[in-house]
Amino acid sequence: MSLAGSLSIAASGLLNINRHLAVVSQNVANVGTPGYARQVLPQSSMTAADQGMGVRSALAQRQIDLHLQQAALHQASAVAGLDVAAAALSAIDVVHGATGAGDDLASLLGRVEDRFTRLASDPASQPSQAAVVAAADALARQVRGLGAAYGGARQAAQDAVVADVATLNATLRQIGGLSDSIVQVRAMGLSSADLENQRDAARGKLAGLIDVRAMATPSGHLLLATPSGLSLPTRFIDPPFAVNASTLDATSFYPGGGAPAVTLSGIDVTTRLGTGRLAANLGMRDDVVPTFQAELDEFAFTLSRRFEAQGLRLFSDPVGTVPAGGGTPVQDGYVGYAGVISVNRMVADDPALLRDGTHDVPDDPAGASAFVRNSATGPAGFATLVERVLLRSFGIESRAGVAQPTPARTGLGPIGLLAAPYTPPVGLAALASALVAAQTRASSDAAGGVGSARGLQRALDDKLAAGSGVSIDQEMTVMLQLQAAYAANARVIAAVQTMMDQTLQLLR
Amino acid sequence: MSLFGAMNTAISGLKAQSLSFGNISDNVANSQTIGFKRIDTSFINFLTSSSAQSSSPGSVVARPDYRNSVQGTIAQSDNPLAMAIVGQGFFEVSRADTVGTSAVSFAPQRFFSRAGDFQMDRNGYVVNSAGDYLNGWTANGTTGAIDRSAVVPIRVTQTVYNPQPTSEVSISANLPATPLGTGPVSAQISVFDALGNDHVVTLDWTRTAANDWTVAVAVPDDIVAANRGSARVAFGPAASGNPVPQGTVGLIGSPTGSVTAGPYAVDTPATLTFDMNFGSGVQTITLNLGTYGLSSGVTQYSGNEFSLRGISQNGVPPGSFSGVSATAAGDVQVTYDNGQSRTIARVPVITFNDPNSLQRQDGQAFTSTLASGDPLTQDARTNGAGGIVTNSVENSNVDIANEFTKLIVAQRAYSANTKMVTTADELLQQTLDMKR
Repeated sequence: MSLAGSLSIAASGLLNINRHLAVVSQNVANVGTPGYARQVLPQSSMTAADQGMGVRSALAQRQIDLHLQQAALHQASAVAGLDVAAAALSAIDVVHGATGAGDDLASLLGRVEDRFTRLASDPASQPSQAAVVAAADALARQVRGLGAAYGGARQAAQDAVVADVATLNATLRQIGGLSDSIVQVRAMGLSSADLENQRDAARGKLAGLIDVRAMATPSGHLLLATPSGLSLPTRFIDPPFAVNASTLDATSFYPGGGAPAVTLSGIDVTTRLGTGRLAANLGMRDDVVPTFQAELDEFAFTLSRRFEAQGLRLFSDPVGTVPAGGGTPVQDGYVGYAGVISVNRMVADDPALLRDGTHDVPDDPAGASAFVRNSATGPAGFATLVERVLLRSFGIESRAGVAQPTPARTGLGPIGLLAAPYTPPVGLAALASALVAAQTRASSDAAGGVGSARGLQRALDDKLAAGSGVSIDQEMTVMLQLQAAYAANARVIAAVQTMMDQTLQLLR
Repeated sequence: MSLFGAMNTAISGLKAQSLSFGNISDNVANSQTIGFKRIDTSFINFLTSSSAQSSSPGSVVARPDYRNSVQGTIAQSDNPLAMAIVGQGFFEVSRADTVGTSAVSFAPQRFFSRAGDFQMDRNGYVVNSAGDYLNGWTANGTTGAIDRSAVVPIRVTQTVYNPQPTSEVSISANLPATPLGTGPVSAQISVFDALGNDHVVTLDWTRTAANDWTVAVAVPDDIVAANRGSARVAFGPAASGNPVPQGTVGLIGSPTGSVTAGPYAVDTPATLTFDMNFGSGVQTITLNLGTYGLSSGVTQYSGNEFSLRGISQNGVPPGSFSGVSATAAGDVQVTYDNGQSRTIARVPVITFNDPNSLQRQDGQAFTSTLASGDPLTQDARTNGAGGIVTNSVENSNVDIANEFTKLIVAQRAYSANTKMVTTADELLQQTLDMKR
């Protein structure tokens, strides 16, 4: 072993430390980068023919538990989806009003009943009549307000879907580009750890949109597939996912009813996107909000029919018609009615009609009993109608011994695919309470779900960070070791140099 | 006449030491030459007469002592083609007669060298710094088998990696024991055709009865028909009639269309094959659903949604040349930017019975001689041949400190011999001065 050999060993030591230090500084610089996994540099000693030959550093590798990472990304997409649902539902929750403030559907309905009760004591009192109209108007306005909130939430979900699909395509393209670079870099025998960290950051972005399982191929490519079996292409010319922008109204529905489908390479995958923001927005657009809408339509319809049946057309659409109902599917003719319900113009213009009635009612053995309007020359204290309203419209029987028709629970919506989560009570007040309770509970359940899901996500993220995150303490320790080792190697080189000088001085 | 004899002896000493001097200077000059082997000097004395009564001064001759088998120090290199031999043996190299624009004609003479700083030249040959072309056994382009019948200059010619059509797909997933609705659950697989294009194959799984499924294969891009046929896949002992645990594949049967089903046997792969044609001939794909009776691939356990665990396929898109590197076994590999690599040749290690008797040539090369024995061509690390270390080169085995020691000795020995000459001259002068 010559001096030159020692020199080349010390030089390999210095080279190894240089590479190590580069990795350490990269780790330290990225201490807060999301999705960054700590890099390590495996090293091994080299021997040839029983002689030490120094040290060789392999390529920088990431220190990461891929299964844990997969679980964390899966949970992140679940949380992102629940977040979307909770945010949308809480916006609707606000319109439902605060508990005890008296501005919810049930309280407003109660106020209408209360005003009718006052009117009953003096049906001719104009102030009492005006009070009934005002209370009824407040109720109609609340129903319309809820309808508008549903429409807003649905449109927001649709717009978010369009934006998310664009982001999804861009992220898939980014992942494909990074994968290509990783394969090339590996083929050149270089470390792909930094590119893999970048790709994982893109995967984190993807996980918020859609739950994806990633399978790495030996060459470095990443196969992406949803748990439901959709392969997501990462190398493409035309963007694989597509959705049309659209303006929705209450009668829009999916599939085929104006709510556009999300397609993957031309195939409709709207219902197969698993969890994540995209699926959550589609769920809000096609299922949750339309169900709310159908429940409210059913309430508005029931409300209007109950008054109409007793001879007082108090609630109607702006032109004064009340939907007849009885179509197929059940809500045919009154989908979106909640958005236009208002106090009948005729009654608003002439509150005396509250006493006299708006139309005659023929006797129906299965429905309301006969009613004849109070004529213009009739008694000023005509109380028949107000009593019928209080006893029958607000009650559970349309005539003695005949129950009111039960509001529909299933087969709701434009194509009859929706169902309310509660059994609709027969009474109007109970129906309003059930509706408000169900819809606010959905909101609080979503908020609670977000809380527990986020707890799990945090636990997974912490575990992932403990395994693959950058620990400054650890990096500093490594750096001190490297510093000492560098000095020692440099010392060896200095000693070799001195010895060589001495050899040269042998000759004079 | 021993005074003149002593003078002659001293002069032979001077000559021997100057030869030693020449060897030392050669060594020091080549102390940084990759693959250089040093030349030591040994001295041999010649006798004129020697008996119990008298001894006449003889003379000395210097003889070079070739240290061809002494290991040089191994230094690391960034060059992925750099190779060093540890232990016995040499690389076989060729020299060019004429270098044309696209081809090189080689001299028939076989050269051997340990200068392993190889690089690829513009013609695709692997050449070291002395300009010698590395020889090796060629590998079959498709099977990768090494052809040991001839050692020829290694040349990288395949700059494109031809695409490999998919022939095998493995899928790992759980089919729901209680699916929602009656519609099929589907999985999409992306496969490559013979031209390296991407195509989608859709597997539609329909539950026909408890533990009983039909898988239909649809290939939208097929030029004949998108529907490629179907097969029945039964899970568990009751539905399949085979003794497998619940929830695992027990039978693949009732194939229709282009589908053929693999027979049931314990612990064998559960496979089915189907044909497709993307315009470049019929392509048959074997779909691997795991193993009969094991929960390794497709299973049917509780759940109401299809859950994909993994998909893999063996097709490869086309790739272009990315680099060339060597492995410890001496394989020269070409890597392509699609992540694939291909062995194009293997470098043998040539050993000799007496490597120190090799004839030296320019450029740290050697040729075989009668004394060295015939070259023996062997795989690295077999039959006493040395191993190959990649990303490294073997430096000269000259140690400067050692050479300096020899230099000092030679210097002193030379001075001593000159002293002998001058002293003999003085004595001769005195002898002449005896007569006036």
